[in-house]
Amino acid sequence: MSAIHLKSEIDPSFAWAPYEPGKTNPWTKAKVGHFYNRAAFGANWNELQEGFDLGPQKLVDRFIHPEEKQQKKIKDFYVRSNAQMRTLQKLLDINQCSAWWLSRMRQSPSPLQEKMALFWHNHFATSFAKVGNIGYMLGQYQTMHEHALGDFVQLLQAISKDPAMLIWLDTITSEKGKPNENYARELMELFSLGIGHYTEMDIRQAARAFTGWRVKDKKGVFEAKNHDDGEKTVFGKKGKFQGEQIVYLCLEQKACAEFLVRKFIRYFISEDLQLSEKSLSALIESLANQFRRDYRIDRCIETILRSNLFYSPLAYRQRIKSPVDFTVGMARTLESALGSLTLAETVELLGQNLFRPPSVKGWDGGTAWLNGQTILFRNQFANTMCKSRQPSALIANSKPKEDTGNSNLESPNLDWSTASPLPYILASKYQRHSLPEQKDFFFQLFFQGDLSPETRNHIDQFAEQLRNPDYPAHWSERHRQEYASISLCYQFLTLPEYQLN
Amino acid sequence: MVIYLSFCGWRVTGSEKIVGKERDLKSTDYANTPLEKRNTQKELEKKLATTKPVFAAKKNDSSYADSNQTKEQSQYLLQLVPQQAELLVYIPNARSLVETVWKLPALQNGLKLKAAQPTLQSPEMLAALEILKFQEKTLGTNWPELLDQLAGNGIVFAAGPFPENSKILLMMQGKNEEAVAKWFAQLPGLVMSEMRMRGTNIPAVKIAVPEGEIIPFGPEFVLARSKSTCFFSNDRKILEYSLNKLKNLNKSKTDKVQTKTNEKSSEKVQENQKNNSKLGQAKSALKEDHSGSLSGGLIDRKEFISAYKARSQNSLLWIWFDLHPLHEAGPFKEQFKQPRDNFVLTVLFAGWFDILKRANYVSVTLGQQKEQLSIQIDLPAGREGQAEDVALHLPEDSKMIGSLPLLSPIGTMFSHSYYHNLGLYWTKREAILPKSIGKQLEKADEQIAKMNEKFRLSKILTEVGPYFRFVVTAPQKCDYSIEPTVRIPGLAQIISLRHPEFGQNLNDAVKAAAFLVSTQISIKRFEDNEDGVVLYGYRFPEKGSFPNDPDGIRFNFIPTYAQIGDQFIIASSPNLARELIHILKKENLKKEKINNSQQVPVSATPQQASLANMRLEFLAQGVRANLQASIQEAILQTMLDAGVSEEEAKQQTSQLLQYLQQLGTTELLTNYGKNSFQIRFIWNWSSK
Repeated sequence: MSAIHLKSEIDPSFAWAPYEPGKTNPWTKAKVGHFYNRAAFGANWNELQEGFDLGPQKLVDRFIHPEEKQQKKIKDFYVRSNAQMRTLQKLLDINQCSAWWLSRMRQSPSPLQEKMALFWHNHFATSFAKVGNIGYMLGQYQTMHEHALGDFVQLLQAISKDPAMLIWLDTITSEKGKPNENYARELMELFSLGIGHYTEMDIRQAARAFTGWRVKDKKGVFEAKNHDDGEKTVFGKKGKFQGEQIVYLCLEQKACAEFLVRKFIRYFISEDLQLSEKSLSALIESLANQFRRDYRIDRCIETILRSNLFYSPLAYRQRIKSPVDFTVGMARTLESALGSLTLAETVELLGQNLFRPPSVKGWDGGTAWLNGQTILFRNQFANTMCKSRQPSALIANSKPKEDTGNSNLESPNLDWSTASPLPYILASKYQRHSLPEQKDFFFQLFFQGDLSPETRNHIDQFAEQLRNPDYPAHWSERHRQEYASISLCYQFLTLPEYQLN
Repeated sequence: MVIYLSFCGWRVTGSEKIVGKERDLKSTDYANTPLEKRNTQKELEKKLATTKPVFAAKKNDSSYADSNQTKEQSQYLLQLVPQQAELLVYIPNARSLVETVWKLPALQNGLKLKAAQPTLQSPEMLAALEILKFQEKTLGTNWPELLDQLAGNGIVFAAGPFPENSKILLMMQGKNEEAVAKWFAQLPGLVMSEMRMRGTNIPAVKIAVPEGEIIPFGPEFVLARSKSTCFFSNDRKILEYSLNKLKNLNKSKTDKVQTKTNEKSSEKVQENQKNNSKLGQAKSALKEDHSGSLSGGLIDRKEFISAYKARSQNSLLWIWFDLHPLHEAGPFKEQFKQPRDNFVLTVLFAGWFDILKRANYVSVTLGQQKEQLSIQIDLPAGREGQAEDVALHLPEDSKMIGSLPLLSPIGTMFSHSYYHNLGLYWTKREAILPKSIGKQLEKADEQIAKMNEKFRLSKILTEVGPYFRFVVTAPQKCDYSIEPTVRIPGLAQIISLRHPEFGQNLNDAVKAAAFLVSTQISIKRFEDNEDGVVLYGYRFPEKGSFPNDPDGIRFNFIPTYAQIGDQFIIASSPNLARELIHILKKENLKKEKINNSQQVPVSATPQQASLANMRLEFLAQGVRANLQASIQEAILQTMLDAGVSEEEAKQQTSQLLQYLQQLGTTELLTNYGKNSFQIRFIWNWSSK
């Protein structure tokens, strides 16, 4: 991680202005890789090349304003994927749901939407452990996915009535005379305003407004007979508020947009932005003013992704990869067809159990992802990936066909006699056969050529050792070649730099 | 070594070119030979017949028939096991075992499944195949001949004491000393080089000893070889003991040969011929060959000898386990007493705990006969001396039916038939149950009697017969307009009645229970007739709300019950109940004959009554039907698990369905003899 010890100052108007490549700050593959790591779940070799050719602004357009052809591809993908949801409910296994979502993240032609759905999943953290119904959890995911890059107002209203949320925060037990404060509190503290922007009285009064909600026929329904329809005072305003009005009242608070923008910045820029408090506040306020106008999530994210700040050293490799970023990113980069259930089991081991966040606060993220045990598991996963064998057809066809959305959906008749380890097969696909060629290939693929001289030296020395190792006598020549590829790739994937996003 | 042995059976030949009588064995890319193009077993045998191995095999060496010489030689291995062993695994002929398993149609067809390919191409599998190929090349012999040369006279694994500080001893004896010596010489290098590639360096220094050679392997393990016998242990003393024993045996054998050539030993030959039992063979061999050096061996222990004597001649694999440590183990001691505190264990396993308490060993035999593979577990304790609570699970009269025929309506996945005398919970509650449970039963009896004397608990327990049957089928279609989110298999319980008239009491009890339920949820009673038998049932409401069932699980069920003769059916759907009525009607006719007959077979077919007190059966056809009913789920699961496209997943699922069709049935039964108890597991893949 590049060391930034001093708190910097930055002009918000410059920070949020669109990045334009120049001599002192050219467009590089490292920036393409950075973009894909933040806006998606990593890039494969072809995507790196294409992204570089497109340039920064067209690359963002592809993600936020896709062309008609791309839109059709996205639509077709989600029609097919969504059709699986009903079957998914029948499996009665939340791990399969986790695997299914991870497969979407890996294969979706609209990865930014999945990335934002993941953001909202952490923001409106709801756990299957209490909800206990897969249909409700998938329904909530669908709501978040639908509005992921849409209107935050609609999203917040929908979540307030979502069956999983109603159960999770006990709104279904809240009734006139016995209001449950859980949802009102979390709405203000965690979902819209943040601590310090409401009073306990606001919470108590808002709780009365949320009485009368139940879950029937898999939907949130309002039962007037259980509702407290008396006058409430929230944020200094009086009225016979129901839940919907409380949501609007929260959105009217200045703190709401600022609270959310701060979270967007943590998610896309850095969890610990090295700016002075004054600069940070100005930065947030500037973007919050824009966001507050219409609460359109896509416009806010677009501003961030186009900005100078996004491509600055303040953002570059300043986040630690979450377990999802790490596993899905590795699978995408290596063009792996490894089963998503394995990915789901791995993210669970690494501490990010999809559909089962630890609490309503979600996952802490940042350095909390890394400890002695999780680093070991990350390395074990890298080992599994590098050693996993798959038929060459799965990688050879990995460039998406027209109108299909994804290669893995169109690769029948796999010939397992052609199977080889992933790094070997990938390097072969891109015509990197010798060890030095493979070393350079992985260097570009995983780090886009950006590593410290010390680290490069370490890798060079390792690659040199691989040229003349003491292989067992019973190993065939092919086995030796594959071993060298696996070892080299593994070295790259276990570098500390690879943990950074 | 263990890894090598376990992977031996997966090997098919690579692409070796046979030139005249020499073999041109190029090292082939281990990943490049498609499975489909590899030789079949027939082609392999044909190739072997035309090749000249580097080590010329002795006459009849390639045969894996259990010859006298093989038997005697493999018994030598048993004599090398110290008496502290509490677990012994014995494979008389490794090739026979491996080939039997390898030739199983289920395995051969399973290897062709697309879903199996990732496993067959896994790094571990390929590494094992590579090692095997290397061994074939360096030793100049192909599998399975290689297996004969290295382990043709048997493999023995022993371990103990348990649970702490356990020692292990693995021995294998080959038919070709030269091949064994060469293999043993390269083994440490092979293992060391593999470990080195995994970042572990294990030193191994050979030490020549009078008995052969010893190689300490790392801080814990020791390898040794003496002539054609190899040893592996985590304790040097154990290994040296076995080496010494072998040395003495070989010495005595040499002396014996000398004696035979010098004297006419007709008396000894006659004495040997008189000893027909394996015990006799073992003991007399010992007598002749040891002259007093018998102390310290497992073969001296009575419980081992009697188990060994009782084992089947044709066993492919035999396991013996000493139960004495179990008798001393804390957690089990509590469960052996009667009445035990854990009521649930009494209900489920009273018989088994009693047997475990009284038996001093358990032995397990694996065998094959035609289209059947069987595992038999034997314990030397039976009816004689049984505890009182065993009567729950066993008829008093040893000639009485133990279990009624297994039922198999369409789509049956699982069928269970067993004996359970509920009446004893009442009549012998003081002896069988903990005091507190007994008191609760009495209290419940009084309280229920206050509501209705007909439903008295004691009456129900004593009137319900001792024969129970249970079936699980593929999901049944229920006559609702709403499909449940998840389809649940069909279920039915069939209870025998001591007096058919009691069926009316049960009917009334069910009605009363349903009435109570209907105060909470609305259920609708119906009545129907099937071939003269009246069915009653209850439907769940399709409209309105239903507590705690958002996925409509209730729409899998229309609980139905009916009585036919002395059998009371409770089924999850009317369709299942109707089918069972027809089956039981036919059975009623047959049962009359069985009751009058003197002969009730133990080894009955599933469709017959049996002396076995518990039987259960899994039917692959039913599993297939169940999978068929959830085909979309299976396809999605395959996509997520294997990371394949929808089309590929459909192909794999379709293959799996076809594969299930030929898996046949697996049956488990338990049977008591006077002084024996047997659990038999039989897998039958016959297509009939």
